[in-house]
Amino acid sequence: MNIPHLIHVSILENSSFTPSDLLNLALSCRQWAKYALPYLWRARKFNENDSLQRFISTLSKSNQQNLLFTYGEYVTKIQLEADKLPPIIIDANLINFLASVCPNLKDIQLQFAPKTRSESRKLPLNLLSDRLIRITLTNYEHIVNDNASEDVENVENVENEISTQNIARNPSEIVILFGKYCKNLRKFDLEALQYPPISRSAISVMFDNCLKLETIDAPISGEALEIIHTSKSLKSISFSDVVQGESLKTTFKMNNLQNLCLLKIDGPCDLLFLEMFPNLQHLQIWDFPLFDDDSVRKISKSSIVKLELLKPTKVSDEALAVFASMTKLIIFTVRDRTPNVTQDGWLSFVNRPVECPSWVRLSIGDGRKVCTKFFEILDKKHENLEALGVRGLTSGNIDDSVMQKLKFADAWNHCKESSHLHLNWPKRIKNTNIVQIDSYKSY
Amino acid sequence: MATELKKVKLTSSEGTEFIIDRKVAEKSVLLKNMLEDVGESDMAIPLPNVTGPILNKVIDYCTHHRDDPFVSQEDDSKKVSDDIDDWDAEFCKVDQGTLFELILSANYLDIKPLLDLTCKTVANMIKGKTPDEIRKTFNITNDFTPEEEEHVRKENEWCEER
Repeated sequence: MNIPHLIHVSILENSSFTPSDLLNLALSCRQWAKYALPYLWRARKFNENDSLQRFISTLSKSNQQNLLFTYGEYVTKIQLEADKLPPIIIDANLINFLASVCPNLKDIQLQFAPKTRSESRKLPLNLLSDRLIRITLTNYEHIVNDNASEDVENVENVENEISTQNIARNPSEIVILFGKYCKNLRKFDLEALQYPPISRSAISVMFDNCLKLETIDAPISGEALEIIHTSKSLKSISFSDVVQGESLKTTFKMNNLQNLCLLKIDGPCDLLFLEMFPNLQHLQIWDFPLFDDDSVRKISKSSIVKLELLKPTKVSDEALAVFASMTKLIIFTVRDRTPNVTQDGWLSFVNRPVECPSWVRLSIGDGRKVCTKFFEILDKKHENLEALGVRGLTSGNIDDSVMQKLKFADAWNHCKESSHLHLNWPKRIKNTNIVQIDSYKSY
Repeated sequence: MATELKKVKLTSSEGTEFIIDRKVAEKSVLLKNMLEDVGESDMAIPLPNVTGPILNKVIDYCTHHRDDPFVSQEDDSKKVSDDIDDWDAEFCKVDQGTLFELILSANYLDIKPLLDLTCKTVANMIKGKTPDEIRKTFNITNDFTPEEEEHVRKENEWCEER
């Protein structure tokens, strides 16, 4: 096959090849090997020692002259998961090795075993600094070392060094470390539950140094909201642990923020900061016990397209009418119960004012007060509707004969056969190929 | 006159002239850009890299898909599927030489859905075959020595264990 480079790539991109298919193709001739092997090696995942050791021995310096292909250069993503027994050891030697043999590594995901996370101490992740654009760490623990720049091989200093080390219970240190070293970072995702939140000053270090940072998902302190405008690249921020509602304040406008996720807000919060993010598209507020109609009015002033709420238990019919009047909002999810909402509330939710667009995706966690008319209006007036999910319908509120005439008929017939009356339209289709592809494709 | 009623003249490598609707021609990003740059013109657009029979097939494809929405480069959701609809599958039932010429023409004319379709067809011909079967299917000469082949197999045997 004498075909240009782009065509080889296009055939591989359009395939749903298993790893085995890729190897067979690579073994057919050198030219195909040149294209197929990088696909096979670009994302490697290890959760047991045998395969990790085989990877290391294949790429080891002593074996390199025997290799026909430069496998190490193909690797762009490494996932190391110490969640099986015996857990794989993620230590300084391994990071040193990856730094020396994988020059194109861009994405690293390290999941340490909870009981052995002390092994994560002193990992020389700075060796990978300039090439990484995405880091995900789970159960990571870092040691703060005042003498970090000293040569650890200097035996005389070792004792001294140990005495100055503290186990960092504070993930802020991790943020500072990566902030300092990984200037090309695009995404930073840190899971560190039950630790103090990441401080505003640590976030500030990261924003000052990582000028390409687009996404951060970490247990950040609410006070950090006031300084996020200093990042001109940040598009998405997720406060993945509890934040104090009163700390969520900023007086600085930020045009680049598009996604904001707040996992849990404790205490009152006026949500006035939303006015400072004029280009916010997607807002998620998971657990905010004091979320009420007033919060909804604050949100309604934004121009978000997608809104996800977990527990808006205090909201009333009025809130649903307000959501309906938001001129950009087209994707709406509400997960938990909404005991104060009546049938009228859901009807005003679908009877949107003329200047408002059709709903596109709706997911309603509490469908007890949703009635037939709601579906009729959705069917007639919301021509762009792509997906609808309503959980826990009340059979007495739904007129079967009317439902049979709507586009939701199949979904309703499927739904009424089940005891819990969850309606999903259109019916979900499983695409098994996605799993297969995901097992070795990273980008 | 509405854009879709306008006609465009194309000339294949042998000089055969094809007159088609502008809307059909615009399925090709190359032609769309050319037509936008040139503006109103009755001049035939020469396509020296495409033979008449292949151009005929390409026009068939573009005519059938003339009303399909434009798919952006980022939207690769279709890539993970092996599904090819009946018309497209029938369209791709051609000899291997024609299939590869269609790939090259789709690439040259920048018709991404046709490039994806033809490449997917080739990918489906590769899927599930042994190296030897792949070589036979595409008339590939094995340029590995038996030792080299064994080496590559050993270095990659991890992937068979998934």
